[in-house]
Amino acid sequence: MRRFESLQIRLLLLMGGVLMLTLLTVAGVVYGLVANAEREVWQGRQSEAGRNASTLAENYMRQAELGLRFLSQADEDLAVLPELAQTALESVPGTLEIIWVDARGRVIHSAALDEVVLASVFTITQANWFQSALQGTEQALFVGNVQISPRNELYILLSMKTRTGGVVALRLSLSDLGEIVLDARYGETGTTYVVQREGFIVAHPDSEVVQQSVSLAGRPELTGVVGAAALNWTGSYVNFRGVPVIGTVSEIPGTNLLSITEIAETEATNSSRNALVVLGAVTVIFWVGALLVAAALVRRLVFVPLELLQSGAKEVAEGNLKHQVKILRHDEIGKLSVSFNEMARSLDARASERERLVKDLQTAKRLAEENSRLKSEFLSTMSHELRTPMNAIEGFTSIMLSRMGGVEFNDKAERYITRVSANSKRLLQLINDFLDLSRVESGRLELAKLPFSPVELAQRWKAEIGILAENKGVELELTLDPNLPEVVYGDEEAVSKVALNLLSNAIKFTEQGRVSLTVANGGDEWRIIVADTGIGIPPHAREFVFEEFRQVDQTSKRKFGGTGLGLAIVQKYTRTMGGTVALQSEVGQGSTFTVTLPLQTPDGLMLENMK
Amino acid sequence: MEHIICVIKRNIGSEGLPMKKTIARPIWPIIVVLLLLAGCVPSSATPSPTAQISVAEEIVIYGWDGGVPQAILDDFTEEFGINIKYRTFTSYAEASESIQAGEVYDVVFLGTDYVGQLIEQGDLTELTLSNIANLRNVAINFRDLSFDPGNRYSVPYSWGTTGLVVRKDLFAKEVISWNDLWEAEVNQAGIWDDQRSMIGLTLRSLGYSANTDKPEELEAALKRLIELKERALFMEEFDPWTSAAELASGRISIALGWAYDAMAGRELNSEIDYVIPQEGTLLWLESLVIPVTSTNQAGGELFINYMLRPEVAAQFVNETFFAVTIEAASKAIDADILSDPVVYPTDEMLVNAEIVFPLSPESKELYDDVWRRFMDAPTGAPLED
Repeated sequence: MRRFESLQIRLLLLMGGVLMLTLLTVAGVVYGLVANAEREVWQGRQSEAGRNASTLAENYMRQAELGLRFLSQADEDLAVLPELAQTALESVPGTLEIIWVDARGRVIHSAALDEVVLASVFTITQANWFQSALQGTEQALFVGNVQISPRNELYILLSMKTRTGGVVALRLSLSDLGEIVLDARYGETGTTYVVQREGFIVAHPDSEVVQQSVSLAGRPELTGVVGAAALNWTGSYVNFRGVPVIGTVSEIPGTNLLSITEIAETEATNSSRNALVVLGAVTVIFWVGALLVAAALVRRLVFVPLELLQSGAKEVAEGNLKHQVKILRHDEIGKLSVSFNEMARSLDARASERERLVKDLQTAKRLAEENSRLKSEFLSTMSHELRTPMNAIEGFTSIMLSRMGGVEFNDKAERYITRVSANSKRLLQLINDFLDLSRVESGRLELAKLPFSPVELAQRWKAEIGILAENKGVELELTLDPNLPEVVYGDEEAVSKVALNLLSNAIKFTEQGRVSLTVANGGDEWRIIVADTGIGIPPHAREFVFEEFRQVDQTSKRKFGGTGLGLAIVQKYTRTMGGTVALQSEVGQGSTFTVTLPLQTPDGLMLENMK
Repeated sequence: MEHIICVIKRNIGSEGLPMKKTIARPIWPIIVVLLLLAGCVPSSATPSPTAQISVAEEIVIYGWDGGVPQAILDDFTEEFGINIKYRTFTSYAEASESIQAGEVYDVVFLGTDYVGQLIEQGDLTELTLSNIANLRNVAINFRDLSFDPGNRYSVPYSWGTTGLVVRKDLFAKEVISWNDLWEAEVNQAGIWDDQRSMIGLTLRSLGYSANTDKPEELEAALKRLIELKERALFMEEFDPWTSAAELASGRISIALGWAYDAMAGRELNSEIDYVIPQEGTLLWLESLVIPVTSTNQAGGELFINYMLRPEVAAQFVNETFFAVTIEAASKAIDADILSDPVVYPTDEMLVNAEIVFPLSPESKELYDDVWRRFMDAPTGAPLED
């Protein structure tokens, strides 16, 4: 099937096939008609030849019969008979011998052109011609079988009872008849010959055939005519010489002879064969020509525009959207081309539009990124710049409150200074958080890879945050996985920042109950799980609690305080460390934050370094 | 004509030997060979395939003892690889009876006076003429005879005359008539135990047809025959095959005979002559036929076709002195034989000739009756031997 994937070839094959079939049918019909006509012509000629031979033989025999009838009426006068015999020998064609015998078989007179044969005393009385004529009525004609003489001459014996009771017989040569029949040839290979019903060929243009006693007994031409109801039979067969022929076999009436006219099939079908050759040549030429014209036409009308379309499509596919297909005609394919061009133009327009948008987007993105970076930088710088004076404020208010340096002030002043100190601490915390965040966002957070004990670290967190819980009256539980490695590598500070933020958050949103911290070993990773029995986070809020400055609602902000940066810091630090934060929460029941961090043990680190 | 002419010819000149013995000599080996052949086939007890083929490749020919030269039979066997089993008869009557009795023969040499009768009775097979191409060699006047129109059943082959074999020097007058048989001295005439010939010649001598069916003519003939019996000798008494030796020795001076008797006798004594009586000779014609009992018709037809070859027919004439119907054979026949009127009589000699025709059943009864009465009649004086 692959071979015919070209529509052009397939179309050509189809057209060629249909055309050839049509032409062959026409040629076949024409040939059949010609061959039939030719055959009929030959058969007509053959039948005519056969009829001619028959008529000839009939006339021949009739003349002999008339002659005999005349002789039978002669007086048995020896003065008359010789003259009569001589006249008959000269005037009745083919007559070779005439004999008068009396009823006892004794010869009255005999005369012959060649030699006296019938006058043989030995056989007259038992000869069929004598006995049959004698036993018949006067003037009844006896006709013997056609015989072939030892000299290969055809002859026939005719006899008749005479007026005086004897018998007159006539030996008639049929060789002349044979010659005439043989002359009835036609065409180049047309042959006529004569055969006995018994099968022997008795006259043939090739005298050898007669001498060799060729017999047709059992051959189709002979059985054909013997079996036929009519007087002649025509058929195609291989003759006794092995030549395929068309032959007509006719009976020669009044004799046991058949004339056979044959013509070689090769000649009989000559004209039709020539016609076949011409027809064949014409068919082929016409076929090739028609196919070429059709192919050119189809190519011009269909395939050239199609190829243009195809190359256009290729161009477009390769990105040349400006390409326009040449319109050759305004037929179906032309319309298709027009549509194609429209499509290309429309594609081109959309592509230009999209390109512009992409460019705008890229610019915007770059700008945004720059802005973000600038913002972080700014924040970082700002925080730093803010922290310095804030540290000074915080430091001096602390000094003032601890009455160091001999400072004196009244209660009112102390209340105010306490407020200043608290607010400056809060502001400092805010600034620190900003700093942490901006450090992560500006990509300047560099994580250490130092060994530390997770157990010790967890205990430190409990100690550090314990006061906060105690103040609020919330129970703080610590659960340590006994499988925890003694030492892990990582940034102790970053981990602490995550854990402490979560813990303070939990305590912050827990009015009563408890907060639990669990540190567990999870194989390749370790987990810090902080669970509380606080207010919980409603589902709609879970997606934004990790964003900066977002709390569940403004009420809680006011109620619980805080910068709203804690969870953002947790997430950013965890991500930076290659970990994840998961949140499980139910409103009114509490929340559980699970931080999963990759576990880098000394072994694992060694393994990694080795790699 | 119940004689083996070739044998006689070969033995001509071996004077002093009794002919019967010399003739018997070559016959015996043939019989022995035939018996051996006949005995051999069944004696190869287990019927092997080859034995069966050899049976199929055989034809049975029925003819006069020595009626066909052995060389002709041998040549046929050599050419076609078909063995010939040659069986013999001593008269056409015997042959005819044997055929009617259903004996198996593939080719029979049969007198034409029996052919018509056997055709009528359906005892002969119609010949496949396409197998007998040489039929065209038969002379025109011998074809299409009334007893077998169109030669559908028989092919006339050999023919001859019946006449008187005479010792010219011992006979007082020139022999010209059948009546001269009666003119011979007592015990000087030889006759044969042959019904149609004897009755026929007697009828001719009386001026009647040899084929007459008139009882009064036959009665007249019988009377005359009995006269003859009183003064003539049956040649079978001396020699079942020929009178040549008896004529040559002068024991008899005249005998009923056929051309070959004269030919054989002439070799012994030049005074022996053959006379065709003026009343007309009795002609005989022998045909080749195939009985319906034949188991190898194709082989039989092959043999007939072979016999009709000019050179084979010529050989037949040269060795048996029987004239043949084969016109084309003339060139190869010895010129002496061809020109000898004894073998090939001239037309003048045959002017009054008559053919021995087959008899109707009624006529046959008459003839048989006449013959029985003739045979029952007393013989003449005993031989003064």
